[in-house]
Amino acid sequence: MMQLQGSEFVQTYLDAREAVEKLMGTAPENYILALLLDSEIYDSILLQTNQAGTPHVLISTNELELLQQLKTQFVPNGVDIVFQSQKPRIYMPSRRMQLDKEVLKAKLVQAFAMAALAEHSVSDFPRLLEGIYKKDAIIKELFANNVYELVKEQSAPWAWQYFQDLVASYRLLALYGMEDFYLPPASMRKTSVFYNFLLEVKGIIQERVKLERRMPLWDLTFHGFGHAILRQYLETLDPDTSEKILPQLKSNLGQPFGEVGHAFLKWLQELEENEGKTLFEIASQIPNDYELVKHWSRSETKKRLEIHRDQLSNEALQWHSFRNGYWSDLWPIRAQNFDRVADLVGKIQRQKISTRLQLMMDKPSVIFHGRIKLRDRDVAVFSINEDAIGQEQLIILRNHMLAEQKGFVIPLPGLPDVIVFRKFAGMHIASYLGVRTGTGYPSSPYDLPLVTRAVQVTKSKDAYVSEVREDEGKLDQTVDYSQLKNLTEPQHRAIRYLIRQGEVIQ
Amino acid sequence: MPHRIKWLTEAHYQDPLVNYGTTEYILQFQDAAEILRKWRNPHLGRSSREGTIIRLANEANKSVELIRQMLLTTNLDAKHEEQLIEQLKIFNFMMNHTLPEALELVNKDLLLTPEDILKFIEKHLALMQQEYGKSMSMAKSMLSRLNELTDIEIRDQFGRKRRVQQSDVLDVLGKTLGNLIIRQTSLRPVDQIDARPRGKVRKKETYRAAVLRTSQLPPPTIEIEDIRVVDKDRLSLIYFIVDVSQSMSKTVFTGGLTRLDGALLTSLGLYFFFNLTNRRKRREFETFKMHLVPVTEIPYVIDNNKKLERFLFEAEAKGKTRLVHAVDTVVNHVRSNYKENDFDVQIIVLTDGRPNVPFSGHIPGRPDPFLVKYFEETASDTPHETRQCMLQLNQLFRHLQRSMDRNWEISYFLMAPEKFRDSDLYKDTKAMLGGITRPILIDPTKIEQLGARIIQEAITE
Repeated sequence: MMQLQGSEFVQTYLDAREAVEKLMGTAPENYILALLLDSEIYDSILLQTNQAGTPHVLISTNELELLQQLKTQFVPNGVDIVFQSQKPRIYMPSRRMQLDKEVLKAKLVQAFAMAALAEHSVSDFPRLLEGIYKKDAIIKELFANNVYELVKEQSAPWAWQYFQDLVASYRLLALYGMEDFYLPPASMRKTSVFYNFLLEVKGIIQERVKLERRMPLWDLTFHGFGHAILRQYLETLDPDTSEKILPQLKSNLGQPFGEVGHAFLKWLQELEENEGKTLFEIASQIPNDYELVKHWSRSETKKRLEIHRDQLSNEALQWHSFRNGYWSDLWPIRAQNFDRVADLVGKIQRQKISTRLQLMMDKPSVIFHGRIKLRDRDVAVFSINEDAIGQEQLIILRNHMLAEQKGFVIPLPGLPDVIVFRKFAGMHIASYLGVRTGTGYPSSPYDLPLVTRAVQVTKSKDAYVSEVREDEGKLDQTVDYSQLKNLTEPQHRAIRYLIRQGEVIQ
Repeated sequence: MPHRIKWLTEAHYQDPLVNYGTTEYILQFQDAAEILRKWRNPHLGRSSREGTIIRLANEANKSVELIRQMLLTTNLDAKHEEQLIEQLKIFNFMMNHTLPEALELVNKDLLLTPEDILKFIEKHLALMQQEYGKSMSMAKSMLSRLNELTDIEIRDQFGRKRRVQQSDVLDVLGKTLGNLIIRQTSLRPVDQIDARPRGKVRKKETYRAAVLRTSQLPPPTIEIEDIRVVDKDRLSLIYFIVDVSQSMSKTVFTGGLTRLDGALLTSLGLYFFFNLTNRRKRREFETFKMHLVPVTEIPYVIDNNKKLERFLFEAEAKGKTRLVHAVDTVVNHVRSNYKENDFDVQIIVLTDGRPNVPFSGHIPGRPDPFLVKYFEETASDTPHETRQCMLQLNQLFRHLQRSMDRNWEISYFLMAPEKFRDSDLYKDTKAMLGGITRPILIDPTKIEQLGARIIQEAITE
């Protein structure tokens, strides 16, 4: 394969712009195309954006270590990122320059079409995403500068991890309106640069959360439009060329969101009210995905999507080179993804969902179940189905007020001891983090006498082997479980076991 | 519409997946000793094992997501696609069957030793084969990550977590302790040049020695003393005599370490040191053949390396201290099993220095008259039986040292804190070993100072 030269790339780029202008009558003006010379950085940006939304977002160390581990093995780097903010940002790795000129041009045409839609759409989505992008960039700068100072002055390298986890955890919990997560009062701002940082970050994250809660659902329209324009563009090419380059456009035409969105846009064009309008005019007038799919009843949508799915099963064969396993292994994956998007459409149609918040609250991934009152402390119980908070991040949720009294540098008040339920990878896990009090002078928030356990929540009665208990059941009488809500029986048993374990170990 | 290409530097786009807080973790001897204690009591590391399973599950979960995306969006060749599908299946199986079961077993403390884990992995490989009808080539290597369960979680000075492997820890211990013992012994490295006219003569070194002796070039003669040869690689027998009596269970060290912990840590360290040396030499046979004799009611010899390691991990303290019996067992073992060869023998005694059961059988030779006189003339707190045992030990060691059949070397490690140096028992032990060897006082928690002191003593001697 030939490597494209710089000047050739620029020429392809200009050709693609011209093609978009010809197709749509307009082209994006205020955008960035970032061609990342180091393709590995592109992989990082892709993973991170998929994980938490924007290229500048701070992710927790739990997620970070996970992605670092997997970066060398599984990166779906065929996709180009078209970041649909008001000022659209297109990211590409330089390894795209090894592609055929025509393929690259087609990819750019799609990206520019999507960028133009983001620029001209009546939807709030690009504007809000721009706001989120800026907030994330500010947080990142703030984090880097303040923590750098702290690490240098106090020689405390733990601070990187701590603040990173803090920002990620706080962002998640604030999104779900968790009021228990407590930060210092505003009067503490002047006390030190760290209180200042905390308060500042808290403010910015809350602004970010406000934006995120207002975000409409728009992915279906956006990706569907990209899909549709690329199809139109391929029709303008002579059949030989388009046939030749089609297999290379897997990431552009083989995505389920695009497939389904494209189908709806096509049907929308057939409607009477849209007669004579171009696709771009129609798409740019759609404020959210509900407006895209609302014209058809459930039964009709199902019927139409079923036909489309059948069509797809044969068409999609061209994207795969492992032909032997296509019907047994590959198509099921593709179909499953298609069905997932179709189910989402169903949900949008049935419940008239138009914003992300509605979808999020339909099945929240963070739930607070209440507190358990022990003799000397509380234990908060959560369900958190997110990668952001792993076992190590639980400490962020823990109250460090006591440590502060003993000369601890950065007290970070939070919750009391925590129990967190999480369902993933075929497991249902209950993790417990307790902190013993009254020992020593911790040198960092991680340097606390911790009790951590993680057990599987299961129905089997012999699942929990308890160590010999010295209190002979007295503990149960002093613990108040009455405030807990929305928990299943096995979850209750797991909680009781963990509380007893915490006491025994302490 | 002017389009300009801007050059962005790394300051604009750093790799976002950079780990800001990474600092190198340095394993200290104290850490190593502390970690080994955890391994000796596997029940201590349960939460860490649970954490590992969660991490593996996390990884499997994310991998499945990414592989699916990859298959849907990225152009791949057929072989790569097939590989990914296989990995996807294995991950799915792990998520649905292997990891939940592993977590449950860990919760119940049933998945502790490497053998348990190996058995568990084999069981699941078989299940996987049943599930998919054919064996998965990558399954074994992917499941073998469960071996991380035997690693131990430690915390750095800021309390952040790291995982370490057993072998890393033992290497640290072995290096420090091995330096101590090599000072005392005649166990020379293979390539040391020796003035003995036997084996292959090294001409260059011989010539140089002659030049140095005569101060003339060329040297007029080459005498027998100039001849340099390579000492032949010899097999050395190592006997660890580990005191596992009741008195060893007493906690004496800071950090809750018992004397037994100290003794076992030391022998583990030394065991790994000799193992390391064996590995480095790459000979057909292992240069150091290791044995272990626990000081039990009827002392016996463990000569299998695996069993030896296992014993060191699982030993418990009980019973009286039959030290003389143990040394006698060693002598008998050597004389009956290595009758034909005059291998060097290194006896390493690890004890708290309180032998209390005199040997009733025959001991050749006689004790040092000076020691007898010393015991008669000086009063001390040391019990009568212990002194009697010391005399017997002295008699036995003296006999071994004088015996012509082979080289016998003795090292005597005392497990005790530093203040033990002032006690009568220590003085008596020192007198008992007079002319034979010097007792080495081991406080595993303060080993670094100990190393420094040994070096100092070696210089002033």
